[in-house]
Amino acid sequence: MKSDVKKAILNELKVIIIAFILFYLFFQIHYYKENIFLVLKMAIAHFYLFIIPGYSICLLFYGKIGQIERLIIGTGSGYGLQSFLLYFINMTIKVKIKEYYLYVSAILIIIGVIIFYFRTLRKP
Amino acid sequence: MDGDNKKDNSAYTDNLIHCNKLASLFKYVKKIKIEFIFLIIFLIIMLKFMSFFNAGLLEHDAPFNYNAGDMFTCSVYAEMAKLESDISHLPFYLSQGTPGVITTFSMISGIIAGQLSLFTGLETHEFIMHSTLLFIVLSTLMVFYFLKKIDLRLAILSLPLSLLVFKWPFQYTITWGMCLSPATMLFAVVGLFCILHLNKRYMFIFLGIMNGAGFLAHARETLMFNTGVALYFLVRFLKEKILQKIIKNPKGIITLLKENVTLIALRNYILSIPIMLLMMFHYIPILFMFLYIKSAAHGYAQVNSILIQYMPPWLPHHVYLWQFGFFKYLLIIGIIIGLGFLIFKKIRTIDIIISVSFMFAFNGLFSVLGNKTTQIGHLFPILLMPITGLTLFIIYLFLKKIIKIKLAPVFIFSVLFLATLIPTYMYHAPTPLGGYAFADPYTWEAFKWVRDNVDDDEKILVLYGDRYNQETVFYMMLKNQFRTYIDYYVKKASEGVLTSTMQVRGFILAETFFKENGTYVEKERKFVSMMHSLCNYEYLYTDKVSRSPPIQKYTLKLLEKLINENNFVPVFQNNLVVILKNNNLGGDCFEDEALS
Repeated sequence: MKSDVKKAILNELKVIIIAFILFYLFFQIHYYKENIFLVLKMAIAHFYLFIIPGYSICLLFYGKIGQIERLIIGTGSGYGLQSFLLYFINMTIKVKIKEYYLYVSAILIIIGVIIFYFRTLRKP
Repeated sequence: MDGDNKKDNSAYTDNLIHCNKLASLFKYVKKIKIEFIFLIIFLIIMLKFMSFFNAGLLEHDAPFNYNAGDMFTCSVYAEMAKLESDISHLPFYLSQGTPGVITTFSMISGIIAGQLSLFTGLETHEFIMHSTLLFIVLSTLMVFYFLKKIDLRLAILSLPLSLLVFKWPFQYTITWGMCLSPATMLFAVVGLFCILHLNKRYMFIFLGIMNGAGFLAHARETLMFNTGVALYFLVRFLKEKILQKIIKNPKGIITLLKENVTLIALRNYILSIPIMLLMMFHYIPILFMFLYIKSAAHGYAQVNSILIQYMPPWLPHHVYLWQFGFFKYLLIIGIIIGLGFLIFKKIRTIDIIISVSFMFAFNGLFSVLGNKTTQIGHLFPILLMPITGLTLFIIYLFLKKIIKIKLAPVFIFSVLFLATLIPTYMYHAPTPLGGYAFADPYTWEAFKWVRDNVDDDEKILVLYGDRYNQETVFYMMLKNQFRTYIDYYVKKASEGVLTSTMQVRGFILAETFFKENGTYVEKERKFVSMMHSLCNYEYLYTDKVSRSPPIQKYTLKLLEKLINENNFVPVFQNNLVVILKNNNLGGDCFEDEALS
């Protein structure tokens, strides 16, 4: 059971890492004159703020649909949901997004991890 | 002798190992599919075409390849998302100082760009074009992956059309400020996958999120996507004869709702609507207001923009069929083939993607959802990928059937792919762009000075610049700024009359809605256009260089007069821009006089 969970976690991490490397390489080639650390920072921004939170939420479909399709739906959800939440929070509490945008992504990732926990560890 | 034999043996063994390695490498190379090689070639060409837009750099000295005012509108809203504590209302620099104006601009793209700017420390304008390009790339690859689920070769054959998006007129999306649509396109393309898996538990939540985010990013494309979804359900209902089944056996509907994939998906689609509405709660009244107002862009067509409206294809559009080059033939044939597939074939994935592609094409060409709908034509190279792909794929299947040689399928596939990719590369490559069309590094340096040194309650008058016809550029100052009317300025310069009274203009960069007693009320759009004294502004901003020597002379004389006679002092200047500060606000300005 434990080795299954470990394998599942590694599998999920593998997808994210491969996607990140491909994303970074694509844009490093595109911005070939740019400082590599700046491009890396940009890639991290996309992954931390949008793609990983979306992918995490899509762990709801763990074992139901393929990893790449989860990544695709997760990417769209990340850009859509995270931005909407910032919009909503900003309108509700009237505070600049810079105060909480990093936390919103973190919370979405944590929610995803909890979903993953219930989908794998708690599975009989 | 023994020693020699040992040496020979070891050399022989080394050679054997080497040969084995080569053989395994050869086997590995043989395993690489031709489709993979073509995908790599496509990506290389895509990267090459993308390189025309930002000169290989993420960070620039000024907004780079911003070729129209709308680019700056996108950028200033991203700036607003980054800086303001209430983005549901316009800040003073977008409302000409009028408080309480409701933000009607779709904010999702701005929030994405604003966050990227906050995270990386780069200016927001860098992320307008970056996000557009990213969403184009992601959408293309996602459509490719969706088609791969039908057939890998169909997916590969669909790719070349997407490269047209980088060429004029399609590149309008990237350089002219259609920054909202690519984000919506991404949500629509992800929505395709949600529709595909809509029979799965909880998938309706994600479809709701995609539709909600899509409406917040740009409503029209999301409406188009949903008309496509409606067509898909209609097609499935007819093909599966669901209504007949229900009429024949009304009690069987409960079983159908549990077993029939289309009905489960439809039920889930309906369940996704409350989630979408929940996300749009703030935006719904604004969308309804748009039903009754003229679009700011009504000049594009001879009709006003109300939401449901037909615009015939012969009226001015952004994109015409001939601009697709040889792809237009593939598109026309593809539409016929697609119709055939929709009517006669029972492949769910094809039904989904063809329905959505068709409805994007239909809405875009006939502008059913108002005149701005035609703008979606700029994204047709991605949205209509399945249609051209289908044509090529059918040709491939046909030729494969009649040519019965062992390597024929690979050969035919390769010829078809290269026969579309090579002409696309040769004849549809984008041309190099100018770089700093409206905001060069000197202008940007001046803008930054204004941001840092001008108080929020002070007014700036932008006097003259050869490229100042795109007024939205100046909103990037993030201050309350007004502009002289260029025609008036040029008229005075040509008459040779030095004057301190100019025709001045300024407007709120949005439709003017206010919230009063819980409802949205539209008020007259605040549009300043009146004769004003230059001395009524705290700052004067102008280019001191012009391509026209008489105008340059006029501007310099005007500045000289203000400095010498009216208490103005230069507080900033570089090779292009001069900024004067008025130390006698509201004081008398010089009288008109002939330019010597």
